[in-house]
Amino acid sequence: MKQFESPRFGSIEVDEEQFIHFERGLPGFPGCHDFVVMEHDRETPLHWMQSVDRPEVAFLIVEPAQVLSTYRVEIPPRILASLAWDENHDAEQDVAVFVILNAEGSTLTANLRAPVLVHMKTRRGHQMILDDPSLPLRHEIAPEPVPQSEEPKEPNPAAQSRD
Amino acid sequence: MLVLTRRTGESIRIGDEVSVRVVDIQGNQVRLAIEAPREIPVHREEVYQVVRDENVKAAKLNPDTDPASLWQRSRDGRSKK
Repeated sequence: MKQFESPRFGSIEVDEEQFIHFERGLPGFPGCHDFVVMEHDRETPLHWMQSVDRPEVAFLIVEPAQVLSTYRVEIPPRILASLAWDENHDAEQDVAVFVILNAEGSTLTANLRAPVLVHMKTRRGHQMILDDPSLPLRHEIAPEPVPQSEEPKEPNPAAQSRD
Repeated sequence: MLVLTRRTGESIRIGDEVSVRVVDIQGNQVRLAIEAPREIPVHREEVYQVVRDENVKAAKLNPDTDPASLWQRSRDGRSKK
């Protein structure tokens, strides 16, 4: 167990096995190697990626399907291989994709140019910079034309507070 | 800073694992072939910089910002005029 103080969330106690490890950190944060992913609440799909190494660093993230249903990321084999244990564990379906959100006043934007990849089995992460200059760094979050599922969410027992 | 002169087809090596070769020179454009271990990301400098700046900004989200209400307002369009 590792315990640390985050300015936003207060005391956080988390099992090291839950860490997402970024071998080289993220651009701008080369020393931030370990993160924990936490739900923001149960009403929104928002999550936080909280740095363990620098508790003042936390990124608001969301699955890109929540932002733009047509968004697809093709993960180059060399990046997939660096996330996996070996070439027998390079299944693309094991890799979760998130985009980092930013706020400009009351406008939320999503960085579609540099998504965050998380291999759910190895728990290795990588922020990938896509080669497509048409992908915006600040994609404004707008109402989704596709109707959203209205199914009530079941409470997630894993998300209960620990204190 | 180290400055080296290279001709087409010649390379420089950075450490044991990174090699940069000049493939072609046309006027003020140079094509480079970079060989690096897969865990070393290679980016155009200006692209790396904007992503880094965006990360720095995103990590400093105002603690008073309530992401859930911003999210819901953005999604249902109430923030639009």
